[in-house]
Amino acid sequence: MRHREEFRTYMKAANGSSDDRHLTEAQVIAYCRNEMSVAEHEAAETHLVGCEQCITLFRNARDFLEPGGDDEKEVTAAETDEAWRSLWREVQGDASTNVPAEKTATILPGDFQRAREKRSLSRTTLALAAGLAISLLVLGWQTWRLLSERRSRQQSQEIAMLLEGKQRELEQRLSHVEQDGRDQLRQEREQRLTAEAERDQLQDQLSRQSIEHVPLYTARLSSERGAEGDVRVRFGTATRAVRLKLLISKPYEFPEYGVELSDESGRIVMSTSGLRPGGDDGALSLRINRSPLHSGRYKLRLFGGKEKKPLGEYGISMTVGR
Amino acid sequence: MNLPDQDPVEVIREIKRGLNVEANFRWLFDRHYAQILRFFRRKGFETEACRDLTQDTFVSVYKGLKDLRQEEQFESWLFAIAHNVWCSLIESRAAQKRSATVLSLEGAGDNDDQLPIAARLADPGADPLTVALEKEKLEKLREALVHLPQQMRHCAHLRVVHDLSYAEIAAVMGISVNTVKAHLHQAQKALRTQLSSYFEEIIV
Repeated sequence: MRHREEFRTYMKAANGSSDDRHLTEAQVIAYCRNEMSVAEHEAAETHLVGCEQCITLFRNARDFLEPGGDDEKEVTAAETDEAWRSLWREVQGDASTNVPAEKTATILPGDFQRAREKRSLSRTTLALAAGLAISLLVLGWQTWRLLSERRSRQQSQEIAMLLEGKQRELEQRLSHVEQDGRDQLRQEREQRLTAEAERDQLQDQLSRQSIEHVPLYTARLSSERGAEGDVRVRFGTATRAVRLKLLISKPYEFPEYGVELSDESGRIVMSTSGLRPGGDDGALSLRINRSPLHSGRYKLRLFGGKEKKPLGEYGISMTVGR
Repeated sequence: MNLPDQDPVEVIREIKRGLNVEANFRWLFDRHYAQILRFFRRKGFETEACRDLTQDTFVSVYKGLKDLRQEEQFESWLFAIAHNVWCSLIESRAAQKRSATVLSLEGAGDNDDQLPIAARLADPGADPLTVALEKEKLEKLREALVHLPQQMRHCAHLRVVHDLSYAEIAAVMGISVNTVKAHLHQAQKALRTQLSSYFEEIIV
Protein backbone atom coordinates (compact mmCIF):
# COMPACT_ATOMS: atom_id res chain seq x y z
CA MET A 1 0.00 0.00 0.00
CA ARG A 2 2.88 2.30 0.89
CA HIS A 3 4.51 1.66 -2.52
CA ARG A 4 1.24 2.34 -4.26
CA GLU A 5 0.92 5.65 -2.43
CA GLU A 6 4.48 6.52 -3.36
CA PHE A 7 3.75 5.93 -7.04
CA ARG A 8 0.63 8.10 -6.72
CA THR A 9 2.65 10.92 -5.17
CA TYR A 10 5.18 10.80 -8.00
CA MET A 11 2.43 10.69 -10.63
CA LYS A 12 0.91 13.78 -9.06
CA ALA A 13 4.25 15.58 -9.13
CA ALA A 14 4.91 14.49 -12.71
CA ASN A 15 1.88 16.38 -13.93
CA GLY A 16 2.55 19.47 -11.83
CA SER A 17 2.63 21.85 -14.76
CA SER A 18 -1.15 21.97 -15.16
CA ASP A 19 -2.81 25.21 -16.19
CA ASP A 20 -3.63 27.30 -13.14
CA ARG A 21 -6.92 28.61 -14.49
CA HIS A 22 -9.61 26.39 -13.07
CA LEU A 23 -12.75 25.53 -14.96
CA THR A 24 -15.93 27.34 -14.04
CA GLU A 25 -19.14 25.57 -13.14
CA ALA A 26 -20.60 26.58 -16.51
CA GLN A 27 -17.56 25.19 -18.33
CA VAL A 28 -17.76 21.92 -16.46
CA ILE A 29 -21.48 21.65 -17.20
CA ALA A 30 -20.74 22.36 -20.86
CA TYR A 31 -17.93 19.80 -20.77
CA CYS A 32 -20.26 17.15 -19.30
CA ARG A 33 -22.91 17.91 -21.89
CA ASN A 34 -20.34 17.85 -24.67
CA GLU A 35 -21.27 21.39 -25.66
CA MET A 36 -17.69 22.63 -26.06
CA SER A 37 -15.74 23.04 -29.26
CA VAL A 38 -13.03 20.46 -29.94
CA ALA A 39 -10.25 22.84 -28.88
CA GLU A 40 -12.09 23.91 -25.71
CA HIS A 41 -12.87 20.31 -24.87
CA GLU A 42 -9.25 19.28 -25.31
CA ALA A 43 -7.99 22.16 -23.17
CA ALA A 44 -10.56 21.37 -20.46
CA GLU A 45 -9.62 17.70 -20.52
CA THR A 46 -5.92 18.47 -20.18
CA HIS A 47 -6.67 20.73 -17.23
CA LEU A 48 -9.04 18.27 -15.61
CA VAL A 49 -6.48 15.50 -15.66
CA GLY A 50 -4.04 17.55 -13.64
CA CYS A 51 -6.41 19.45 -11.38
CA GLU A 52 -7.92 17.77 -8.35
CA GLN A 53 -10.20 20.72 -7.67
CA CYS A 54 -11.70 20.60 -11.14
CA ILE A 55 -12.03 16.84 -11.02
CA THR A 56 -14.10 17.28 -7.88
CA LEU A 57 -16.15 19.89 -9.67
CA PHE A 58 -16.59 17.52 -12.58
CA ARG A 59 -17.74 14.73 -10.27
CA ASN A 60 -20.22 17.06 -8.65
CA ALA A 61 -21.47 18.22 -12.03
CA ARG A 62 -22.10 14.62 -12.99
CA ASP A 63 -23.98 14.06 -9.75
CA PHE A 64 -25.99 17.17 -10.54
CA LEU A 65 -26.80 16.28 -14.13
CA GLU A 66 -27.26 12.55 -13.87
CA PRO A 67 -30.97 11.61 -13.86
CA GLY A 68 -32.28 9.52 -10.99
CA GLY A 69 -31.43 5.83 -11.23
CA ASP A 70 -33.63 2.88 -10.41
CA ASP A 71 -31.79 2.31 -7.19
CA GLU A 72 -32.42 5.88 -6.02
CA LYS A 73 -35.39 6.85 -3.93
CA GLU A 74 -37.93 8.82 -5.93
CA VAL A 75 -38.92 12.27 -4.70
CA THR A 76 -42.68 12.34 -4.21
CA ALA A 77 -45.04 15.24 -4.89
CA ALA A 78 -45.99 15.39 -1.22
CA GLU A 79 -42.34 15.66 -0.26
CA THR A 80 -41.84 18.46 -2.78
CA ASP A 81 -44.97 20.30 -1.51
CA GLU A 82 -43.77 20.12 2.03
CA ALA A 83 -40.31 21.32 1.06
CA TRP A 84 -41.87 24.19 -0.89
CA ARG A 85 -44.01 25.29 2.07
CA SER A 86 -40.96 25.22 4.30
CA LEU A 87 -38.89 27.15 1.80
CA TRP A 88 -41.57 29.75 1.14
CA ARG A 89 -42.07 30.31 4.85
CA GLU A 90 -38.36 30.87 5.21
CA VAL A 91 -37.98 33.26 2.30
CA GLN A 92 -41.11 35.18 3.32
CA GLY A 93 -39.84 35.30 6.90
CA ASP A 94 -36.56 36.70 5.65
CA ALA A 95 -38.46 39.25 3.61
CA SER A 96 -40.57 40.35 6.56
CA THR A 97 -37.53 40.65 8.81
CA ASN A 98 -36.17 43.14 6.36
CA VAL A 99 -39.16 45.43 7.00
CA PRO A 100 -38.42 47.77 9.94
CA ALA A 101 -40.45 46.84 13.02
CA GLU A 102 -43.20 49.31 13.92
CA LYS A 103 -42.99 51.14 17.20
CA THR A 104 -45.03 49.55 19.93
CA ALA A 105 -46.94 51.78 22.33
CA THR A 106 -50.13 51.71 24.34
CA ILE A 107 -52.82 53.35 22.26
CA LEU A 108 -56.35 54.00 23.42
CA PRO A 109 -59.24 53.40 21.04
CA GLY A 110 -59.96 57.15 20.73
CA ASP A 111 -56.35 57.98 20.13
CA PHE A 112 -56.19 55.24 17.57
CA GLN A 113 -59.18 56.66 15.72
CA ARG A 114 -57.77 60.19 15.79
CA ALA A 115 -54.39 59.03 14.81
CA ARG A 116 -55.90 57.10 11.94
CA GLU A 117 -57.94 60.14 10.83
CA LYS A 118 -54.88 62.34 11.16
CA ARG A 119 -52.76 59.91 9.25
CA SER A 120 -55.49 59.55 6.68
CA LEU A 121 -55.83 63.35 6.42
CA SER A 122 -52.16 63.89 6.24
CA ARG A 123 -51.89 61.15 3.67
CA THR A 124 -54.63 62.77 1.57
CA THR A 125 -52.97 66.15 1.92
CA LEU A 126 -49.64 64.68 1.03
CA ALA A 127 -51.13 62.90 -1.95
CA LEU A 128 -52.82 66.11 -3.12
CA ALA A 129 -49.69 68.15 -2.59
CA ALA A 130 -47.64 65.57 -4.40
CA GLY A 131 -50.16 65.51 -7.25
CA LEU A 132 -50.16 69.30 -7.43
CA ALA A 133 -46.42 69.45 -7.34
CA ILE A 134 -46.19 66.86 -10.08
CA SER A 135 -48.80 68.73 -12.15
CA LEU A 136 -46.92 71.98 -11.69
CA LEU A 137 -43.68 70.30 -12.59
CA VAL A 138 -45.23 68.76 -15.69
CA LEU A 139 -46.84 72.09 -16.64
CA GLY A 140 -43.61 73.96 -16.07
CA TRP A 141 -41.69 71.44 -18.04
CA GLN A 142 -44.21 71.56 -20.90
CA THR A 143 -44.10 75.37 -20.94
CA TRP A 144 -40.35 75.37 -20.87
CA ARG A 145 -40.31 72.84 -23.66
CA LEU A 146 -42.74 74.89 -25.77
CA LEU A 147 -40.78 78.08 -25.16
CA SER A 148 -37.57 76.33 -26.02
CA GLU A 149 -39.08 74.96 -29.19
CA ARG A 150 -40.46 78.37 -30.16
CA ARG A 151 -37.17 80.04 -29.43
CA SER A 152 -35.26 77.49 -31.42
CA ARG A 153 -37.79 77.82 -34.26
CA GLN A 154 -37.39 81.62 -34.23
CA GLN A 155 -33.66 81.29 -34.22
CA SER A 156 -33.85 78.89 -37.12
CA GLN A 157 -36.11 81.27 -39.05
CA GLU A 158 -33.82 84.22 -38.32
CA ILE A 159 -30.82 82.26 -39.43
CA ALA A 160 -32.68 81.17 -42.56
CA MET A 161 -33.68 84.78 -43.34
CA LEU A 162 -30.19 85.99 -42.69
CA LEU A 163 -28.85 83.37 -45.00
CA GLU A 164 -31.40 84.23 -47.66
CA GLY A 165 -30.48 87.94 -47.41
CA LYS A 166 -26.82 87.09 -47.68
CA GLN A 167 -27.55 84.91 -50.66
CA ARG A 168 -29.55 87.68 -52.37
CA GLU A 169 -26.83 90.20 -51.66
CA LEU A 170 -24.24 87.88 -53.10
CA GLU A 171 -26.37 87.23 -56.16
CA GLN A 172 -26.83 91.00 -56.68
CA ARG A 173 -23.16 91.57 -56.23
CA LEU A 174 -22.44 88.83 -58.67
CA SER A 175 -24.89 90.21 -61.25
CA HIS A 176 -23.37 93.70 -60.82
CA VAL A 177 -19.94 92.31 -61.29
CA GLU A 178 -21.13 90.45 -64.34
CA GLN A 179 -22.83 93.56 -65.75
CA ASP A 180 -19.78 95.70 -65.05
CA GLY A 181 -17.65 93.09 -66.67
CA ARG A 182 -19.93 93.01 -69.71
CA ASP A 183 -19.94 96.83 -69.96
CA GLN A 184 -16.24 97.02 -69.57
CA LEU A 185 -15.80 94.33 -72.16
CA ARG A 186 -18.08 96.14 -74.57
CA GLN A 187 -16.30 99.44 -73.99
CA GLU A 188 -12.98 97.82 -74.44
CA ARG A 189 -14.20 96.15 -77.61
CA GLU A 190 -15.49 99.47 -78.92
CA GLN A 191 -12.29 101.18 -77.94
CA ARG A 192 -10.36 98.47 -79.59
CA LEU A 193 -12.44 98.76 -82.76
CA THR A 194 -12.06 102.53 -82.74
CA ALA A 195 -8.37 102.21 -82.12
CA GLU A 196 -8.09 99.68 -84.89
CA ALA A 197 -10.03 101.93 -87.24
CA GLU A 198 -7.82 104.86 -86.29
CA ARG A 199 -4.80 102.71 -86.69
CA ASP A 200 -5.97 101.60 -90.12
CA GLN A 201 -6.72 105.15 -91.07
CA LEU A 202 -3.39 106.34 -89.83
CA GLN A 203 -1.69 103.47 -91.54
CA ASP A 204 -3.51 104.43 -94.76
CA GLN A 205 -2.51 108.00 -94.40
CA LEU A 206 0.98 107.02 -93.55
CA SER A 207 1.25 104.68 -96.44
CA ARG A 208 -0.33 107.24 -98.73
CA GLN A 209 2.01 109.86 -97.48
CA SER A 210 4.98 107.62 -97.78
CA ILE A 211 4.01 106.34 -101.17
CA GLU A 212 2.62 109.57 -102.58
CA HIS A 213 4.66 112.48 -101.59
CA VAL A 214 2.95 114.55 -104.21
CA PRO A 215 3.59 118.33 -104.41
CA LEU A 216 0.60 120.44 -105.45
CA TYR A 217 0.74 123.16 -107.99
CA THR A 218 -2.11 125.47 -108.81
CA ALA A 219 -2.47 126.97 -112.27
CA ARG A 220 -5.08 129.37 -113.52
CA LEU A 221 -5.64 128.65 -117.13
CA SER A 222 -6.04 131.76 -119.35
CA SER A 223 -5.35 132.36 -123.06
CA GLU A 224 -3.38 135.70 -122.50
CA ARG A 225 -0.38 134.06 -120.95
CA GLY A 226 2.80 133.88 -123.11
CA ALA A 227 6.02 131.99 -122.60
CA GLU A 228 6.70 133.79 -119.34
CA GLY A 229 3.21 133.00 -118.25
CA ASP A 230 3.82 129.23 -118.39
CA VAL A 231 2.88 127.17 -115.48
CA ARG A 232 6.11 126.14 -113.78
CA VAL A 233 6.31 122.69 -112.42
CA ARG A 234 9.34 121.26 -110.69
CA PHE A 235 10.05 117.64 -109.90
CA GLY A 236 12.48 117.18 -106.99
CA THR A 237 14.92 114.35 -107.01
CA ALA A 238 12.60 112.25 -104.77
CA THR A 239 9.37 113.44 -106.35
CA ARG A 240 7.60 110.77 -108.30
CA ALA A 241 4.59 112.85 -109.32
CA VAL A 242 2.98 116.23 -108.90
CA ARG A 243 -0.64 117.24 -108.64
CA LEU A 244 -1.73 120.12 -110.78
CA LYS A 245 -4.79 121.97 -109.65
CA LEU A 246 -6.28 123.59 -112.74
CA LEU A 247 -8.56 126.55 -112.20
CA ILE A 248 -10.71 127.25 -115.23
CA SER A 249 -13.17 130.13 -115.93
CA LYS A 250 -16.36 128.10 -116.33
CA PRO A 251 -15.69 124.83 -114.61
CA TYR A 252 -19.24 123.51 -114.77
CA GLU A 253 -19.72 124.15 -118.47
CA PHE A 254 -18.96 120.47 -119.06
CA PRO A 255 -19.54 117.62 -116.72
CA GLU A 256 -16.09 116.30 -117.35
CA TYR A 257 -12.89 117.34 -118.99
CA GLY A 258 -9.91 115.81 -120.73
CA VAL A 259 -6.25 116.89 -120.82
CA GLU A 260 -3.34 116.06 -123.15
CA LEU A 261 0.28 116.89 -122.49
CA SER A 262 2.70 117.00 -125.41
CA ASP A 263 6.38 117.83 -125.63
CA GLU A 264 8.08 120.35 -127.85
CA SER A 265 8.14 117.89 -130.76
CA GLY A 266 4.38 117.49 -130.49
CA ARG A 267 4.49 113.94 -129.05
CA ILE A 268 1.75 113.34 -126.55
CA VAL A 269 3.40 112.18 -123.36
CA MET A 270 0.28 112.02 -121.23
CA SER A 271 -3.46 111.93 -121.84
CA THR A 272 -6.23 111.75 -119.34
CA SER A 273 -10.04 112.16 -119.36
CA GLY A 274 -12.97 112.02 -116.97
CA LEU A 275 -11.69 114.87 -114.82
CA ARG A 276 -14.58 116.35 -112.86
CA PRO A 277 -14.63 119.75 -111.34
CA GLY A 278 -14.57 119.67 -107.52
CA GLY A 279 -14.45 121.88 -104.49
CA ASP A 280 -15.72 125.43 -104.10
CA ASP A 281 -13.70 126.71 -107.04
CA GLY A 282 -14.54 123.85 -109.42
CA ALA A 283 -10.86 123.06 -109.90
CA LEU A 284 -9.72 120.08 -111.91
CA SER A 285 -7.14 117.91 -110.22
CA LEU A 286 -4.58 116.41 -112.52
CA ARG A 287 -1.80 114.06 -111.56
CA ILE A 288 1.38 114.17 -113.65
CA ASN A 289 3.88 111.36 -113.26
CA ARG A 290 7.52 112.06 -113.54
CA SER A 291 8.58 109.03 -115.55
CA PRO A 292 8.03 110.10 -119.18
CA LEU A 293 9.05 113.72 -118.60
CA HIS A 294 12.23 115.64 -119.10
CA SER A 295 13.00 119.20 -118.32
CA GLY A 296 11.59 121.50 -120.99
CA ARG A 297 8.46 123.12 -122.30
CA TYR A 298 5.28 121.18 -122.74
CA LYS A 299 1.85 122.03 -124.07
CA LEU A 300 -1.30 121.23 -122.13
CA ARG A 301 -4.48 120.94 -124.16
CA LEU A 302 -7.82 121.08 -122.41
CA PHE A 303 -10.95 119.42 -123.85
CA GLY A 304 -14.54 119.68 -122.65
CA GLY A 305 -17.02 116.81 -122.46
CA LYS A 306 -16.91 113.37 -123.89
CA GLU A 307 -16.85 114.69 -127.35
CA LYS A 308 -13.50 116.35 -126.48
CA LYS A 309 -14.24 119.90 -127.49
CA PRO A 310 -10.92 121.82 -127.51
CA LEU A 311 -11.03 124.59 -124.92
CA GLY A 312 -7.49 125.91 -124.88
CA GLU A 313 -3.76 125.22 -125.04
CA TYR A 314 -1.37 126.28 -122.30
CA GLY A 315 2.35 126.15 -121.83
CA ILE A 316 3.96 124.27 -118.89
CA SER A 317 7.60 124.58 -118.08
CA MET A 318 8.87 121.39 -116.47
CA THR A 319 12.02 121.12 -114.44
CA VAL A 320 12.92 117.56 -113.63
CA GLY A 321 15.69 117.13 -111.06
CA ARG A 322 18.21 114.28 -111.51
CA MET B 1 -43.96 15.63 -11.77
CA ASN B 2 -45.95 17.23 -14.56
CA LEU B 3 -45.16 20.92 -14.87
CA PRO B 4 -46.92 23.48 -17.08
CA ASP B 5 -44.97 23.99 -20.29
CA GLN B 6 -43.08 27.24 -19.79
CA ASP B 7 -39.82 28.77 -20.92
CA PRO B 8 -37.49 28.89 -17.90
CA VAL B 9 -35.83 32.03 -19.20
CA GLU B 10 -39.18 33.85 -19.37
CA VAL B 11 -40.11 32.57 -15.92
CA ILE B 12 -36.87 33.92 -14.46
CA ARG B 13 -37.35 37.26 -16.23
CA GLU B 14 -40.86 37.56 -14.78
CA ILE B 15 -39.54 36.83 -11.30
CA LYS B 16 -36.89 39.50 -11.75
CA ARG B 17 -39.60 41.92 -12.84
CA GLY B 18 -41.65 41.01 -9.77
CA LEU B 19 -44.43 39.31 -11.75
CA ASN B 20 -46.15 36.27 -10.22
CA VAL B 21 -43.11 35.71 -8.09
CA GLU B 22 -44.59 32.94 -5.96
CA ALA B 23 -46.09 30.97 -8.83
CA ASN B 24 -43.06 31.38 -11.01
CA PHE B 25 -40.61 30.50 -8.29
CA ARG B 26 -42.73 27.49 -7.37
CA TRP B 27 -42.45 26.38 -10.97
CA LEU B 28 -38.65 26.62 -10.84
CA PHE B 29 -38.61 24.85 -7.49
CA ASP B 30 -40.74 21.97 -8.74
CA ARG B 31 -38.53 21.70 -11.81
CA HIS B 32 -35.25 21.41 -9.90
CA TYR B 33 -36.07 20.25 -6.36
CA ALA B 34 -35.57 16.55 -7.01
CA GLN B 35 -32.37 17.25 -8.95
CA ILE B 36 -30.80 19.19 -6.07
CA LEU B 37 -32.00 16.73 -3.45
CA ARG B 38 -30.53 13.89 -5.50
CA PHE B 39 -27.26 15.76 -5.82
CA PHE B 40 -26.85 15.99 -2.05
CA ARG B 41 -27.98 12.38 -1.58
CA ARG B 42 -25.27 11.28 -3.99
CA LYS B 43 -22.76 13.15 -1.88
CA GLY B 44 -23.61 10.76 0.91
CA PHE B 45 -25.54 13.02 3.27
CA GLU B 46 -28.39 11.79 5.41
CA THR B 47 -31.98 12.43 4.31
CA GLU B 48 -32.64 15.30 6.71
CA ALA B 49 -29.30 16.96 5.90
CA CYS B 50 -30.09 16.63 2.19
CA ARG B 51 -33.41 18.43 2.70
CA ASP B 52 -31.72 21.22 4.66
CA LEU B 53 -28.97 21.63 2.07
CA THR B 54 -31.54 21.67 -0.73
CA GLN B 55 -33.53 24.33 1.09
CA ASP B 56 -30.35 26.36 1.68
CA THR B 57 -29.64 26.11 -2.03
CA PHE B 58 -33.11 27.38 -3.00
CA VAL B 59 -32.99 30.19 -0.45
CA SER B 60 -29.74 31.34 -2.06
CA VAL B 61 -31.36 31.02 -5.49
CA TYR B 62 -34.34 33.15 -4.37
CA LYS B 63 -32.08 35.83 -2.91
CA GLY B 64 -29.64 35.88 -5.80
CA LEU B 65 -32.02 35.55 -8.73
CA LYS B 66 -32.37 39.32 -9.19
CA ASP B 67 -28.60 39.53 -9.81
CA LEU B 68 -28.50 36.73 -12.36
CA ARG B 69 -27.48 38.37 -15.61
CA GLN B 70 -27.69 35.48 -18.06
CA GLU B 71 -31.01 33.76 -17.56
CA GLU B 72 -30.00 31.14 -20.12
CA GLN B 73 -27.22 30.04 -17.77
CA PHE B 74 -29.63 29.38 -14.89
CA GLU B 75 -28.85 25.69 -14.61
CA SER B 76 -25.09 26.28 -14.43
CA TRP B 77 -25.75 28.96 -11.86
CA LEU B 78 -27.99 26.61 -9.85
CA PHE B 79 -25.26 23.99 -9.94
CA ALA B 80 -22.70 26.56 -8.78
CA ILE B 81 -24.91 27.42 -5.81
CA ALA B 82 -25.49 23.77 -4.87
CA HIS B 83 -21.77 23.11 -5.27
CA ASN B 84 -20.92 26.07 -3.04
CA VAL B 85 -23.39 24.88 -0.41
CA TRP B 86 -21.70 21.49 -0.50
CA CYS B 87 -18.17 23.04 -0.38
CA SER B 88 -19.13 25.23 2.58
CA LEU B 89 -20.38 22.21 4.47
CA ILE B 90 -17.28 20.18 3.65
CA GLU B 91 -15.01 23.03 4.72
CA SER B 92 -16.85 23.58 7.96
CA ARG B 93 -16.70 19.87 8.74
CA ALA B 94 -12.99 19.81 7.86
CA ALA B 95 -12.40 22.78 10.13
CA GLN B 96 -14.22 21.02 12.97
CA LYS B 97 -12.15 17.94 12.34
CA ARG B 98 -8.92 19.94 12.35
CA SER B 99 -9.76 21.66 15.60
CA ALA B 100 -10.68 18.30 17.17
CA THR B 101 -7.44 16.55 16.17
CA VAL B 102 -4.99 19.36 16.67
CA LEU B 103 -3.26 17.59 19.59
CA SER B 104 -2.95 14.30 17.77
CA LEU B 105 -1.07 16.00 14.93
CA GLU B 106 1.76 17.03 17.23
CA GLY B 107 4.91 15.19 16.26
CA ALA B 108 3.51 13.89 13.03
CA GLY B 109 5.90 16.05 10.96
CA ASP B 110 8.65 13.47 11.24
CA ASN B 111 7.19 11.54 8.35
CA ASP B 112 8.66 13.24 5.27
CA ASP B 113 6.82 10.90 2.92
CA GLN B 114 3.61 12.84 3.61
CA LEU B 115 5.10 16.03 2.09
CA PRO B 116 4.65 16.70 -1.62
CA ILE B 117 7.62 15.70 -3.76
CA ALA B 118 8.21 19.26 -4.94
CA ALA B 119 8.41 20.48 -1.32
CA ARG B 120 10.80 17.72 -0.40
CA LEU B 121 13.05 18.49 -3.39
CA ALA B 122 13.09 22.19 -2.54
CA ASP B 123 13.84 21.62 1.13
CA PRO B 124 17.42 22.88 1.74
CA GLY B 125 17.76 20.63 4.79
CA ALA B 126 16.98 17.45 2.89
CA ASP B 127 19.55 14.73 2.40
CA PRO B 128 21.30 15.44 -0.92
CA LEU B 129 21.46 11.78 -1.90
CA THR B 130 17.75 11.30 -1.28
CA VAL B 131 17.00 14.44 -3.22
CA ALA B 132 19.09 13.27 -6.15
CA LEU B 133 17.38 9.87 -6.19
CA GLU B 134 13.94 11.40 -5.98
CA LYS B 135 14.77 13.79 -8.80
CA GLU B 136 15.93 10.95 -10.96
CA LYS B 137 12.80 8.91 -10.24
CA LEU B 138 10.61 11.88 -11.08
CA GLU B 139 12.45 12.54 -14.33
CA LYS B 140 12.20 8.90 -15.36
CA LEU B 141 8.49 8.85 -14.62
CA ARG B 142 7.98 12.02 -16.64
CA GLU B 143 9.90 10.55 -19.55
CA ALA B 144 7.84 7.37 -19.43
CA LEU B 145 4.56 9.31 -19.27
CA VAL B 146 5.55 11.53 -22.19
CA HIS B 147 5.96 8.44 -24.35
CA LEU B 148 2.41 7.28 -23.61
CA PRO B 149 -0.38 8.43 -25.95
CA GLN B 150 -2.17 11.46 -24.53
CA GLN B 151 -5.50 9.71 -23.92
CA MET B 152 -3.77 6.80 -22.23
CA ARG B 153 -1.70 9.16 -20.10
CA HIS B 154 -4.82 11.07 -19.04
CA CYS B 155 -6.62 7.85 -18.13
CA ALA B 156 -3.67 6.72 -16.03
CA HIS B 157 -3.48 10.06 -14.29
CA LEU B 158 -7.17 10.15 -13.49
CA ARG B 159 -6.99 6.65 -12.14
CA VAL B 160 -3.83 6.93 -10.07
CA VAL B 161 -3.91 10.54 -8.89
CA HIS B 162 -7.64 11.23 -8.60
CA ASP B 163 -8.70 7.66 -7.94
CA LEU B 164 -11.58 7.86 -10.39
CA SER B 165 -13.62 4.80 -11.25
CA TYR B 166 -13.59 3.41 -14.77
CA ALA B 167 -17.02 4.90 -15.38
CA GLU B 168 -15.92 8.28 -14.12
CA ILE B 169 -12.81 8.24 -16.27
CA ALA B 170 -14.95 7.27 -19.24
CA ALA B 171 -17.25 10.21 -18.49
CA VAL B 172 -14.37 12.68 -18.15
CA MET B 173 -12.69 11.49 -21.31
CA GLY B 174 -15.84 10.92 -23.29
CA ILE B 175 -14.87 7.36 -24.14
CA SER B 176 -16.26 3.92 -23.32
CA VAL B 177 -15.43 2.03 -20.12
CA ASN B 178 -13.81 -0.72 -22.15
CA THR B 179 -11.49 1.75 -23.82
CA VAL B 180 -10.56 3.07 -20.39
CA LYS B 181 -9.76 -0.45 -19.21
CA ALA B 182 -7.63 -1.10 -22.28
CA HIS B 183 -5.76 2.18 -21.87
CA LEU B 184 -5.04 1.50 -18.22
CA HIS B 185 -3.81 -2.00 -18.97
CA GLN B 186 -1.47 -0.73 -21.68
CA ALA B 187 -0.25 2.12 -19.51
CA GLN B 188 0.48 -0.19 -16.61
CA LYS B 189 2.41 -2.53 -18.89
CA ALA B 190 4.48 0.27 -20.41
CA LEU B 191 5.24 1.95 -17.11
CA ARG B 192 6.25 -1.31 -15.46
CA THR B 193 8.63 -2.08 -18.31
CA GLN B 194 10.35 1.26 -18.04
CA LEU B 195 10.17 2.00 -14.34
CA SER B 196 10.39 -1.33 -12.56
CA SER B 197 13.85 -0.49 -11.26
CA TYR B 198 12.62 2.75 -9.72
CA PHE B 199 9.22 1.82 -8.23
CA GLU B 200 8.42 -1.25 -6.17
CA GLU B 201 4.78 -1.33 -7.21
CA ILE B 202 3.14 0.21 -10.24
CA ILE B 203 -0.61 -0.26 -10.26
CA VAL B 204 -2.69 1.72 -12.67
